[in-house]
Amino acid sequence: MQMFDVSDLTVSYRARRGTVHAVDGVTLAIPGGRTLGLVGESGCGKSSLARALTGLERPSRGGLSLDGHALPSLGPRARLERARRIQMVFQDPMGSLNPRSTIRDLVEQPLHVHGLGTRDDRARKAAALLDRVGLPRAFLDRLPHQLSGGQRQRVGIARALILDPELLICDEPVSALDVSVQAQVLNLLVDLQAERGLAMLFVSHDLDVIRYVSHEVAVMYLGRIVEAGPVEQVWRDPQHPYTRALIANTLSARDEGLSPLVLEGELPSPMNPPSGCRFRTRCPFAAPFCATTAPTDEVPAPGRRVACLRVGDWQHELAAREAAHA
Amino acid sequence: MTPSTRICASGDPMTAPLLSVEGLRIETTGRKPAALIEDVSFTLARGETLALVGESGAGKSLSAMALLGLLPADAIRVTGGRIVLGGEDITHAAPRRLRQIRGGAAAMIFQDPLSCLNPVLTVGRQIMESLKLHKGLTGAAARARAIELLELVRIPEAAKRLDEYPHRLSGGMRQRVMIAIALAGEPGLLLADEPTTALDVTISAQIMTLLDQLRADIGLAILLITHDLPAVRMIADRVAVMYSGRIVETGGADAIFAAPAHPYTRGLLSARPQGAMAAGAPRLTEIPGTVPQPSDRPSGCAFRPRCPAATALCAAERPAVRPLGDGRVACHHAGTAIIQGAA
Repeated sequence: MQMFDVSDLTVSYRARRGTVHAVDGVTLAIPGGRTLGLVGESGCGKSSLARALTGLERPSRGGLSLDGHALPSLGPRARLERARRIQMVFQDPMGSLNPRSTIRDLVEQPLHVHGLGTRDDRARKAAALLDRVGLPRAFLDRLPHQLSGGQRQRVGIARALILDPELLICDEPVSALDVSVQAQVLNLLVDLQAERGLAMLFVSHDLDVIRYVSHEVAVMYLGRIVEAGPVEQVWRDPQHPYTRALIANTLSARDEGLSPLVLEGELPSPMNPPSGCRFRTRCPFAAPFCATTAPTDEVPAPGRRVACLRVGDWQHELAAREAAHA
Repeated sequence: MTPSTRICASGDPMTAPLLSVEGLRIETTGRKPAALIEDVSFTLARGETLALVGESGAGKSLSAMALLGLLPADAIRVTGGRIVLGGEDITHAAPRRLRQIRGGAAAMIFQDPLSCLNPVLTVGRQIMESLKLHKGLTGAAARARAIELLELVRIPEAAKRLDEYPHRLSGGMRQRVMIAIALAGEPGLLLADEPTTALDVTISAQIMTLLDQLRADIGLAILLITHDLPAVRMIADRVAVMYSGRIVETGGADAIFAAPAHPYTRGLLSARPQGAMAAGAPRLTEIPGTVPQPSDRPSGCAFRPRCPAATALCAAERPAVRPLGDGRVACHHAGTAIIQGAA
């Protein structure tokens, strides 16, 4: 089984007043045939992380390796090599597809760029992939604007898969679609992953979608992973208050009897993250020492990790508050 | 007694709903008029939240625009039905009267607060403008009331925020400012059109909580237009589901989420992921096909080409809206074995 390892990945941007670490020392593993769901709000660094993995962004520290071999991120040749292995599906297919190219050109283009196959090979492969993503072949001669949002996203998926990548990064792939179309695209992605044994990093702000497609989840807050583990374990027994607050906001949460937990305030600026635990300014359970000590990863159970100084205590406090409320 | 079980008696101001829409019909103008909204009826009481849900093109926003007389008169107009707000029939009210109502008796907030706020005026100026227009307040009195309004929408350090420009505020704060402006005229009805779509999960929860508190504290009636089902689940008392220009099902929120009666509602809910596939959650239900264009809606029931339970009757006859349980539904087969079998 293939294994993609992200280790100590840091992506920094230089701003006028200092440096922003959009991604700050993130370590993750994505095995072949499995999906890692990455959850977090705007500004938490999840898109920067996705872009760094595809080579669209150069990390300032750490990087990505496949089966123990580091994938270089410098130079055009390295970029091309990486693109063969790692492809991305974007949120807005209208913005990521050239409006003046036909669907045929769009789907075949990656083969051109990589100089793969004869003209006939390319045409055959594009047509077969179009069949697989559920679009009629007549669409080959159409332009993106003649397709619906769901159909365009299928084109985006075909284009990402034509190089037979090993890791597929999906950045909010269904967020712009209506619910009934979302279901079609999610089912397709899940099927394709199983057929091809793809490793998948699935980025979304929609917790119900993440829970459905993922085997493992990682929760990101201000550039850091605050909790990670197998999806159902995390859902049944979240160890970080932020995870608990996110889950409480889902459709299934209320049916499963989870009480609401509404956080105060908003995401602080990544330019100037809070001292100690970065979540403490919004944490309903923060103690004075959370401002002075930075939490390190703890392993509450095999395969799980959490970065919270009050793990164990906050759950008791929440239970006590709920009992007092009832 | 919950608002949804309240019986709407004739004309009595204590029990009559604040807003009542009866048989609303909206058509395009021109030589070949197409009906965009047909036979839409619902009521909304003070202190109640009604969610209007459905996918793009169902006619949710159009219905809301019609309530406030915001339809572009040269292209789209109301051709049937009645809109009664606070006992007054405003279906064909004069533009002058509609201007008083907008921001007065009924106010509206939108998806993208940044494009609704004037970027070159401070937050305070924009709230005070509304206070002057609808309450005749100026000077120090207006300023004091503007601070109160910012406090009402839980903006910290309200007095300081008054002199800020919109670009200095976060998305969540801007939406709170929009709500403060909407509340300046002390409306009884708030139309909220996709108020959380552009916001993050935790911020969306804050805005929903705020709307629910305003409903409870000042008896606001809220018409929530959204496709965000978790938001609906969080604050709606009742739900009306729209499909292709019509309301196909209405009922209490708990009842609709627990046991949807219309095949479209059932499809919409089971298309939403619930549970983890890794733990054996079933494959998502796809609704085949797409929403028809208003100009070529099928005969009979508009949902029938996409419906797993459609029969010959569905093509021949349009289903009337009828009571079922505590709600209302427009489906020939709702509540019968045909629907249960198709799911």
